[in-house]
Amino acid sequence: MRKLGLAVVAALVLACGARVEAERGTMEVKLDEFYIEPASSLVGAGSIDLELRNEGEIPHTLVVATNDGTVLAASDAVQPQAQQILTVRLQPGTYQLTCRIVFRGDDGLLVDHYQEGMGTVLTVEP
Amino acid sequence: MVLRTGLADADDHAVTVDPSRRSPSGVWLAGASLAGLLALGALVGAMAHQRSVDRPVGEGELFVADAAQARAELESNPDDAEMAVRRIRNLLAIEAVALVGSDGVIEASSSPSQVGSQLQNGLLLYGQSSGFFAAVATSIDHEILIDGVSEWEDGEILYHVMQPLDGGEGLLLYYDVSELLARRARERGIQPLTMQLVGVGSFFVIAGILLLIARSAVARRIREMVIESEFLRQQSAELEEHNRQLAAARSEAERALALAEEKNRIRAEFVLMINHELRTPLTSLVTGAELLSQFGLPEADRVQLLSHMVADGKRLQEMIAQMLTVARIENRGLNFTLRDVPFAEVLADLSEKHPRLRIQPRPGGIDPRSVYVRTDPMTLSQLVASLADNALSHGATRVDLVWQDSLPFRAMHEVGQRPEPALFLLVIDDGPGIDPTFLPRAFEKFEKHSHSAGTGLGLYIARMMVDALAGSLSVHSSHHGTTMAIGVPLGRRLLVESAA
Repeated sequence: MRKLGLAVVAALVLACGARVEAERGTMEVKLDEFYIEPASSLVGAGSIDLELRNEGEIPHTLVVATNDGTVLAASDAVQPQAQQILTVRLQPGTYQLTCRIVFRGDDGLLVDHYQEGMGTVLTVEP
Repeated sequence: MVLRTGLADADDHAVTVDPSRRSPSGVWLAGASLAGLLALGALVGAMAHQRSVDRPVGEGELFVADAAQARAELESNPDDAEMAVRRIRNLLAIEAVALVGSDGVIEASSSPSQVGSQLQNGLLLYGQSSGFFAAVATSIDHEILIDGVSEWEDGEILYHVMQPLDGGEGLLLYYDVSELLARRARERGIQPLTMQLVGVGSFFVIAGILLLIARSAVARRIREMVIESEFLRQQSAELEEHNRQLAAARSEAERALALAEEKNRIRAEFVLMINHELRTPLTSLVTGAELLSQFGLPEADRVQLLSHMVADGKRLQEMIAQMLTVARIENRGLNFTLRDVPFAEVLADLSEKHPRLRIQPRPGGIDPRSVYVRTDPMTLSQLVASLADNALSHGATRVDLVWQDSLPFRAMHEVGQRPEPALFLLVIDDGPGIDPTFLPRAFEKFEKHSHSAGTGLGLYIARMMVDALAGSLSVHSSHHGTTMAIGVPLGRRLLVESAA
């Protein structure tokens, strides 16, 4: 009977597909023009190291904030092809992962990374 | 379409309803359609508004505008940078404002603890040195004091906005990131205008549904009223039809009653006629025979008596013959075939069989040898002879026969169907005439005028002969005499010859 229960739990875990829970404590987050791609959109509560990997051609950053705007953590600017670890303690809930860089280069265009699409939602489960 | 009414006794009454009368006004549908369109417009507007609210909106535009204002403020007071940055901070209501020298060292700041420190952030330094506007949310290098009180400790996260200035300097603005994000968060979510538009759309949806429901109810009521109206109309029509049939039946019954009464009258008169017309000559014959049986009757009286007896016997024979003729015609009809006959042949037969009839060809009239009539010569001859005898027995002293191709008078009475074309044989007498009030009944069976001594069958037989000959008999009468005009169909043979 106990074996049967374990088999059901395993089947449910496999059925979750893309929403597989990340390894507790560490998760890779890709940064690029202009998107943020965490390894999983679902993590467990607690302290987690976000391994920021900038695969783009310009610097990016990552700001972790609650839905009501309270900033929990922010990385320094991550240079292209560079990595950085941002540690944050998360309670169960949903969080906004955004890049908060605004830059106007020599072409005169104002580029707001968040407005361009660098924002995603991270769900934290107990 | 055939619909059944909801009335209990209407099962046998299929009511036909004109479909055009069952459709209510299109105003209902138009109103419902308009409400639907308005609802759709409001809901689409709500979705568009909410989508515009939900789209990611950064702080770039705010930073650029603030930086431009700060730069203008600084340029308006170039001699006192300390004062300028404090004024800028108060003006923009932000956390701190610093003036960064071209070497990255903070030269002036609204937070004095920062002055003399080196700006560490590479992105901001790159922007300052390259003349590019740059902003990044990152941790601060030094605590920030506001009005001498430490508000932000080293390592806390603020938005850093670098506005490059001429000469390699830079103006650095510090924003509370959480406050900016919270403000954006409040602007997101379901907006009041979205709710209002959804409310308006819902109102129109409900209004449209209510209109459709109302239209359905009104249409159903109108349909029921039309059906009831049609049912009542059909019931009314059926009642009218029943009334008409009752009236017709009543009229028919009255006519049958009148006919029965007429037959009774005729039968009574016939009995009277038999009683008078037959018994009188019979009595005369019997009396004559009794007298003859007595001896001593003078020879002259005996001869006269015998003469009267013979006359009475002939009269009885004639009456019986007429009655038999009527019975025969009524039972078996006149059995002959109409054929084209030379009119002269008919005249010759009449001249031979009825010497008292004066045949009077008119000068310039129709030559009887050139005319064919389509008739049965024997029956036609009998008809003329019958009319002549009838005239002579009713007081006429002479009877003439003339013929022509048109009727010379307006008929006071006519029987049969006047043929076309026709030859008219006019039997003209000089008798006392026929009572005009009696004329309409003169050709009926057993009808005779009160003063007449006839059987009441002569003209009835004449009418049956006229019908059998497919001809007509037109009467004109006055005190000077009567003219009976027999319309005889002209023979086809003559027509063919004329056409040839």
